[in-house]
Amino acid sequence: MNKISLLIAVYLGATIFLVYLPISHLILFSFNKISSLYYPFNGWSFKWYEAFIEDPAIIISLRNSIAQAIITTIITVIASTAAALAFRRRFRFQNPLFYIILLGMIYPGVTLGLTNLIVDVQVLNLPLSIWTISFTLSVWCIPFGLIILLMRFDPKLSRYEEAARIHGASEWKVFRNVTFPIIKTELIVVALFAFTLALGEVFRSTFVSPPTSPVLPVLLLSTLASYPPTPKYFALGTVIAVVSLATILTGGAIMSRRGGLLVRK
Amino acid sequence: MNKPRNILKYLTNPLLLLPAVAIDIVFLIFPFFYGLYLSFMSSMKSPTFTLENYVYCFSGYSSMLLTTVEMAALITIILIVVSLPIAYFLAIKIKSDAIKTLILLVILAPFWIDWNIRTIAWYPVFGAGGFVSTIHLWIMHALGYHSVQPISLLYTLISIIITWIQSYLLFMVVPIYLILLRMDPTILKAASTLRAGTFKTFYHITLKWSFPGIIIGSVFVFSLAMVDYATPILIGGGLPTIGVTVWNLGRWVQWPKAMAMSMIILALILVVIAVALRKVSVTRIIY
Repeated sequence: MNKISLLIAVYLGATIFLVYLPISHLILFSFNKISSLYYPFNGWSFKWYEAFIEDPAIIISLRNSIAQAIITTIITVIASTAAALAFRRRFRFQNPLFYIILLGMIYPGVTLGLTNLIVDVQVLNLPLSIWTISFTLSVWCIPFGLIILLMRFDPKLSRYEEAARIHGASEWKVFRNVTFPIIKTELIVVALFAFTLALGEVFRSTFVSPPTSPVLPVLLLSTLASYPPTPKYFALGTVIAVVSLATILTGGAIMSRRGGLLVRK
Repeated sequence: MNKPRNILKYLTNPLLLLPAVAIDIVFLIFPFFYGLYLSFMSSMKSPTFTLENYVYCFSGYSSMLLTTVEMAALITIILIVVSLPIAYFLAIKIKSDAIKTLILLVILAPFWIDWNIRTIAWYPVFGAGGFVSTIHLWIMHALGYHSVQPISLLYTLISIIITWIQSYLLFMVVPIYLILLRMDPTILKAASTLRAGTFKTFYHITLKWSFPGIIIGSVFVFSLAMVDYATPILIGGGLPTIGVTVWNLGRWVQWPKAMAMSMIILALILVVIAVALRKVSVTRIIY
């Protein structure tokens, strides 16, 4: 490695240090004996973990978050897989439709949430629920799924499908026996990604969340904006971090069995 | 014999696109138009066409709009500079696929902690009595100053920028990294054989190659930073940005004004996207 590579490696180390600085404090102070987020650290205690488990608002909102994330994931996987399969061939309006779907990714979260809230309340008279959150969030998650799938589709897939069709298989049989087994792994990746995105989303969910039983990030934002934080939230954060990390590492392990998403194929 | 199958083939593609497009129409496009309509209405009860919402936004909030755009532009430029070496190093300099993925996962792992908690995790770092403050005290004591007040970086521009670096690093590194993966590293070797210096190689080859990734990453970061309201509230002490303003207007059920502000933001973001699309052919990259 020459000098520049060494320099960049050091720089990379510094960046990782910066990124993990708050995380390490998060974990450390979640075990703090006293209700302080600042030095000096007072000794080890699990009481904040007990505190957040016994907080009914947090547990209910956590349950809401998981339920909503599951629904969003299902919607996203179905919609983005179908769309990705369609985008492999040339058709009319291909580019405009692609941009419309991609718009969901760039569209400001506040506006998406607010407009959906207004439509739900004013136009449709629809009560806010997990379903309103899920469909709103899938507008945002579907483009991610679509791009992941499009970049990861095996170019030989269409040849296998064509071979199956030549041998007389119907479209449904082609999908079930040829397409689906090949793209199975990619679907799991999309599902994990969508689940993680939906679980932590706050900007869009804030407005379409039912006010009495919100999802966890919404509850956290309103609480943390109004009251000074205690290590209870650090404990919650640590647990979420561990669970999310486990999910992502599972996804990473699955991905690397089939060549990996983030490396050259 | 072939007719039924041919019809199904024609139907397949539109059917496949239906879920995604239908969701977009119902939950994105229709609410957008309704919001657009609302932004020109004087109130929810007695809708009369008016421009007063836009006047309200521009007259009262023009400096805030400018500040927000400046902050978003600043973090975008900072992130370009911060992310380029990382993306270059990972894409080109590391040969092993496993280590590439490992380092990427290590950098991206904090992204999967809940946004709000990840933001307040900066309190023990920036606050008085926190990491930075303690190190500052040590240095001051070592230099001989003994009656120094603990410093707090909370609620300053610096803390917002650093928090944003952590939050948005993912969105800038990954596009540049993915684009650079497609570059053949032997080009760099060829350049050095032809006696090009390091800077020339970097500028003419690497930078030009990573340009689409930089553009895509910039669009992401700029759009996200413009409308972020959690970070300015939690770390910025309620620093008024566009996102915070729309959030407030939404909470106070001032919907026509919130919609007018949203339309202004959307127009700004669309301008950025339009400029970006002229530089980069996104569709060619993706499919």
